[in-house]
Amino acid sequence: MHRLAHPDGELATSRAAASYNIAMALSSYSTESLENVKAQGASNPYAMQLCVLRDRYTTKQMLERAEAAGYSAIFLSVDVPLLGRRLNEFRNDFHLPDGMEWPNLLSNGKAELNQDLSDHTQETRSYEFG
Amino acid sequence: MANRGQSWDTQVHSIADLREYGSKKLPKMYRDYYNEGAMDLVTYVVMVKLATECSVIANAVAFRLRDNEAAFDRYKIKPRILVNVDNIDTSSELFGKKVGMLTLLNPSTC
Repeated sequence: MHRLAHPDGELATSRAAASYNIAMALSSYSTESLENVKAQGASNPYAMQLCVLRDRYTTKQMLERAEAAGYSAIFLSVDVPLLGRRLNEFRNDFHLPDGMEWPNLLSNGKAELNQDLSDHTQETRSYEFG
Repeated sequence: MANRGQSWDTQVHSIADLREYGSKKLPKMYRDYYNEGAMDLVTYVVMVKLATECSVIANAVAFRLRDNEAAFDRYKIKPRILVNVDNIDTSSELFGKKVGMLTLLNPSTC
């Protein structure tokens, strides 16, 4: 969520990676789309971070988009059957500001960050490989 | 010293500087989100003292943030000496592509 820190967000991060020709792995929860982030790149490689979400369509569309956009690898997070209890989010009522979304997840973030973080229904409780 | 190397910024000379300088510019909600992790960010010792299974699971996640940083701190860059350093090449290959250095910008807050 780099746009929380700067209006150019992950696009600026991507330009920095490209200018130094180093790799970049992008969060599923990035505040710029994976396509736009990759478009800022040069010959440097890109990887996409994914969780296995309960809604498999959301995961699948992200995989397909990452492949189509030229991402070279998937970084699969396997330790989030439930999201950790981030106390700062409870204390500060963390939320995305208006106009900021999670375009990779096809989400405006409102449902996921709406009060009850213990029921983070985007995450699956068990992984089903094969 | 007269022979000190190049600096790219007057304020930021290291990742620690960057965190401190950036943190000062951020509202508390975003600053805490970037800088903190799960639960109380503390150690394995606290984790094993907790009684219920749920607490242990939650703190196993909390264990990560500080331990992650400590794990990186344990890496050492071992200098080689008495070798020719006229033409240094840090480039390598990653995912089939040539990169300037085996460094990767990674999501850390997702």
